[in-house]
Amino acid sequence: MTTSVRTKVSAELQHEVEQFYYYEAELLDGGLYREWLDLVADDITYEVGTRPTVDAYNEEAVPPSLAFEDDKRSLTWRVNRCETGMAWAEEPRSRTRYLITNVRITPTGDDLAVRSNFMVYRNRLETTVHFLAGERQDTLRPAGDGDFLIARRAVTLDQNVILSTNLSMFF
Amino acid sequence: MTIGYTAAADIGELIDPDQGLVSRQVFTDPGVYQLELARIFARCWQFVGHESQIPSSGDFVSAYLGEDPVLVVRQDDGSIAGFLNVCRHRGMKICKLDAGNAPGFSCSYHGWAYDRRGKIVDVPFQEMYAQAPLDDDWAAVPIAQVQSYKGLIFGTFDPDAPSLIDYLGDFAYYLDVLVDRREGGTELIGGPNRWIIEANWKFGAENFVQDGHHSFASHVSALMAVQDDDQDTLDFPTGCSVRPGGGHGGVWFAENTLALVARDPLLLDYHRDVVRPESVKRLGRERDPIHNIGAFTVFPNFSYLTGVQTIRVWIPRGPDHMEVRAWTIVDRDAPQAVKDAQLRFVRTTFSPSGLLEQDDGENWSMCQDTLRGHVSRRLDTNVRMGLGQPFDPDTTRPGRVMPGWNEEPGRGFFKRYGQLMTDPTSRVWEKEDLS
Repeated sequence: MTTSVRTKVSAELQHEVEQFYYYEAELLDGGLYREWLDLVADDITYEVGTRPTVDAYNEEAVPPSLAFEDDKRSLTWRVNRCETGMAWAEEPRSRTRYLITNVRITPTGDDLAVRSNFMVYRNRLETTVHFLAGERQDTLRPAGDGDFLIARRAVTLDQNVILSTNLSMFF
Repeated sequence: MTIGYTAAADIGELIDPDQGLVSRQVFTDPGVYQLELARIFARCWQFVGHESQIPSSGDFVSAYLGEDPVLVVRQDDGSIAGFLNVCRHRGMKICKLDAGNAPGFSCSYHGWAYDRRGKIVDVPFQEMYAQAPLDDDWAAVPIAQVQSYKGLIFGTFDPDAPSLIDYLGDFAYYLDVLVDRREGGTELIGGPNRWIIEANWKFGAENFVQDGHHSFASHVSALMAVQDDDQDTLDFPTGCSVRPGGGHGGVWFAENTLALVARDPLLLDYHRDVVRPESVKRLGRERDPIHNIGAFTVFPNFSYLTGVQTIRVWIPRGPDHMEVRAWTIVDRDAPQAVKDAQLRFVRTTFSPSGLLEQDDGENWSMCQDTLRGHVSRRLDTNVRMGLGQPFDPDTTRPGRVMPGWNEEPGRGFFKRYGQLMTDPTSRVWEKEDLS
């Protein structure tokens, strides 16, 4: 686990980063994945993993279980897929609501190391519901005018066995 | 027959595998499910891990045989033992972890302690058992047989089951394409992907035993998504299946389809220039097409894809849920960069987020959902594709080989399923299902 660092940044920077995340969440809720890709740096590393049940002193007993290990190219494939009209896991598309909270910012050189918590609610077809909660560890690269590019995203899902038929969404 | 809780005596009526008819009841009925736990999962060989996961003495992984939790432990002498992960006192799990290394295991309820073989080594207040000694009869229940096939560890609770190699029978010829394609054998890399699909375990097992043709409808979006331009990817190649007996089976593409889904030149070059030539030397040219991407199931619930190199178990979790546990298997002698590329490829294509696998969860869970209906449940599932079509008369491959897309291996799967479900005696191990 990451060590906790209490950081203090200006209210203005906190506001800008949070507004960036709210905008991103709106794109994902709206299925505007092509626009979402514009927020992703060309050299992004993007990972989503689960958490093993292991002893605290032996966390290496299970290698990282990643469900996503993507770069911009493979993220683009995922978006391409959604646009074929035949990506059945999301055809018709699920209803989602992304909630982003606990935004903690640490300036690191030109970039920002940002941790945030999320809850993704997915409601599908008639009564299918999946909840996915976790943490994002992002590197945000300032792109001027209060905008950012996501240069790195490492997502930890707070599950051991993923309680969802698939992970057909982005995090 | 009582609808909704089938009695053991009625199971035979639900399956007519020679005609490719299987009542959908077997995918949802609680009575059928309980009988599966007894007659299939307490008897058949099931995958519990790979030797590379537990290289050192005391290394262990947790696994399941059916719904029974087990621990698989590397012993001090290098052998592998397995036992039920259930304390003999009150039934608490004696280990709660996914994996680790331990001198032994201690129950957190009353402190009964077991060694790496599952023998009791310490019990608090032992003097009070003086007249009721905790001898070896009270050891953690051993898995009756634990054996490896080229790195893959399997276990069975049935002491009368044939050896693993005899259980695999002619299927070993096909399994070698996965695990014996290169000198040095295989290893697992990365942690497992584990997820719940709201569907009966047989949807996974049946799909991998024979179903290449669903890719045409299910996965076309992935094939389109990874192409660099708008080239037509709908020229869908044909396939070839094998029903080798024992309920095992598989299917492979007749043309190289790996390049349709893998775009990493490092991976494709390695596959073309290293894997296939070396595999031809080791296994012969006849098995080379199986590298094109093939899907296989070892009865009942271990499946894999050649070429892609994902392996998985479909762990039963009640009649209408399964847990998928999937790993990436790589050649031990491959360069690290190739191993990394293989892992990345599998995570992107065959995982809960997989460009292809996402859609299987959607389809299977909806097949399960319609089983809630009384009328829907009583329908037969149609496993008749290729029924009556000729087998390849010239093949020297073992088993029944049928060219073209077909569901012959599924008929073999359900034939074996029916035999095990209707025969609780050890005579079932002598039956040949190719009659």
